[in-house]
Amino acid sequence: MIDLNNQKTIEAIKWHTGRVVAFDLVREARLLANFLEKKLSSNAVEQPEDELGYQELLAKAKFIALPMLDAGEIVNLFQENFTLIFEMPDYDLWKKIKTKLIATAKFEERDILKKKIGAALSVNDQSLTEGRVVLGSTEVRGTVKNWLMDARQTLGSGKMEIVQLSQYLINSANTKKLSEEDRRKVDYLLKFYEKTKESSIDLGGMEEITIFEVDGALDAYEEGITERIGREIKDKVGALQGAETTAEIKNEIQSRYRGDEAEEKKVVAEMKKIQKAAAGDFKKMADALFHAIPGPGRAVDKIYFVAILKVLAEEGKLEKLMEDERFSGMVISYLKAKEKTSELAGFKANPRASQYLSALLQYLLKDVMGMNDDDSGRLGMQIFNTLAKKGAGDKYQGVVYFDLEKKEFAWS
Amino acid sequence: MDENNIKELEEKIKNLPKGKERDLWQKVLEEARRFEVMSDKEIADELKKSEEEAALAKEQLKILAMSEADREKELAGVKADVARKKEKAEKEWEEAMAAITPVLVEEDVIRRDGEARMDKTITGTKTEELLENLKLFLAKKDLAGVGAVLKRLAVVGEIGMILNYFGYQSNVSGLHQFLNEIVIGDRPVRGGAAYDNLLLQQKVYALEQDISSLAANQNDWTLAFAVGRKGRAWHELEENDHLAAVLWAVEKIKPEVAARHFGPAAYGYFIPREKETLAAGDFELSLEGKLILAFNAKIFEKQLNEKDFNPAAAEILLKVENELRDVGLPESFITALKKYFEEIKNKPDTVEEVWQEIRS
Repeated sequence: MIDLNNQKTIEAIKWHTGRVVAFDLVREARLLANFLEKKLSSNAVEQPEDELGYQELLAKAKFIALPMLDAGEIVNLFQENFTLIFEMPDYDLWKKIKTKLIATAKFEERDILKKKIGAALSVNDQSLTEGRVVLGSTEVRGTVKNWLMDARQTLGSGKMEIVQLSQYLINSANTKKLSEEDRRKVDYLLKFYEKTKESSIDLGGMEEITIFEVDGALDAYEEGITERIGREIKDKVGALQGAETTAEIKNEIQSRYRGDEAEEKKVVAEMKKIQKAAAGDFKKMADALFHAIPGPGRAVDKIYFVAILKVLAEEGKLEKLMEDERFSGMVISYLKAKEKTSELAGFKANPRASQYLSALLQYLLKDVMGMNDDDSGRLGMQIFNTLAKKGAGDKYQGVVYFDLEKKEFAWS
Repeated sequence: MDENNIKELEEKIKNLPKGKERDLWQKVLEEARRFEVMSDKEIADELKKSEEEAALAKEQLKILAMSEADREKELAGVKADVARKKEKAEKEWEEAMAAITPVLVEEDVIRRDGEARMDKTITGTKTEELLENLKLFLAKKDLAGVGAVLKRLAVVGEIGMILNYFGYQSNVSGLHQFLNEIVIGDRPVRGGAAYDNLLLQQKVYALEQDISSLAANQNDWTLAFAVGRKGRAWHELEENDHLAAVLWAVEKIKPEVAARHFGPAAYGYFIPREKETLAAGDFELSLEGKLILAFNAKIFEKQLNEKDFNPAAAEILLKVENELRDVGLPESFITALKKYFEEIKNKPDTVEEVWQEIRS
């Protein structure tokens, strides 16, 4: 029998916990949690600091095995250990809860569990942020419960709109002074807490993804949001099922992505000139782009125009165009022209969301420069790939795709 | 039917241009050849299989014994009859569907209540214990109990193992077959009307959606997105739609996270070697698995080199090394996979010893 007080055992259990967390090994996590729970309840650990360490490992294992826990264990985990999730990379708490909820047959019981989780968070005394919170006239620790109380006092206890939440996170007296990391945690907590308020009986609270066939197309419906399953995915499937091999598909995409070599060289040369002239000054670049728009007395110079856009992307300043009224105005006009007026509020609230830069680029490349979907899409993909490398990650993934059937780029 | 009929048929097919008619006659010929080599008893057994099949076989025999002119005439009659029956069946289906649609929501609430009630009667948490519960519920034809225990198994990611136990593959097609043949099976239906059959089928599809959703949440993509809806009614998703839905869901996951979190069931399914055993069957890469690997090969290879790849997935993928090459994965990927597997195999003694005790 192993001795939990032995340093090698402690290291080995830490190793196993790290492994179940990193690889999301649910069954192993449950075994580990059962083992630790049994050992800890039998007072097998002598040193209080070891006991605390094991308790933390136990809680992490339980978070991974969450769908297998009973409601009481889950509620306890939220009340005592919620903030541990910030130490678990890639951990998707809501997905775990959803699994538990889907396995709960009755919607009423799902709602009860969500309410209990919300209530557990409301009394959670763990520190969420280093920054403190002023409640009324008293300064208190930045605990989970205190942040929830502050949000309720500021925003009310009803359903929180995303716009209100964004305002709260940026402008409230307590959040203003937070570090980015702390703000991210408060954001996560409040969004999670909001989800616990949704009833599973309502469309917005439906946990399962339901695939609907509507007029020959496929729609995925989840938590009140419908997404069309794009045909580019179907094309990928069709391509692999057909005679083409993956390598051929990749070659085809790469060759199309590179475009015309001579033209690309000209763009690169132009980029160097622009970079030298602008010397990183956003205003100069934005002005240059605006004045490169063809009009009376201004001829179309595709190479120059594309080069400025690419420089803005290279220097991580393309998204900043949304703060320039000349360009944000273009997005608004574009959305109106495409009869997407319902998105105007979203644009005002979050102008840096991926769909708006997509709208601006489509407007500039297609409507202004007269490019077709394929050419504009290819440039769009090059620009989005640059942004991804410059820190946008997968934010723009899928905005442009390669249509395997038509063998051309397309905007989603 | 004798040899002359077969020769006559072969001659006829030779002279026909390629197309549907030739294909049809080719099938008739294949059937004729099959019957030719069978004993009378075998033919009799075959005919007993089902009324529908027997009727078809009899028709074929009768048709084959006819002269060509009579055969054409008979065939036209059969075709018209088939069309009439099809039309009648479709009409009945539509009527029954229209009749059950208003009660589907209510029936779903009843199903869920039943499952919640039966869930409380389930004893044990281990796979073997849950399997025993499942067998009892199946024997009692208790759909609510079956649903409750299947969901318990789905939560622990063991539906695939259960499908293998009953002789089915651990993928969407195996799930459909298991639910149709074992869960619905020969359940008596009140009056045998289309209404009851459809209602039962819809309840089972709704259960399948739950199981499939649980699988999707655990990245068990071969069992995810099994059914879809048209209006209120459920139906089995066609393979391409299942694939499109899986790829849509997978695209939302960062490739680095996929590399870590996707276990064997994300990439393929198991084919049972024999029934009534919980031992793992033979692993086969699924089409969705091939696509996931092909489109993420570069990042997955990087993760393998950084020892940051799901260990169970690495182990299983090594078993289908050649299939990985067929998918177009480069040799460097296979090398990285092998190297990673060798490294994870060798754990320090204490780590292994501790795990043995945890498992016990």
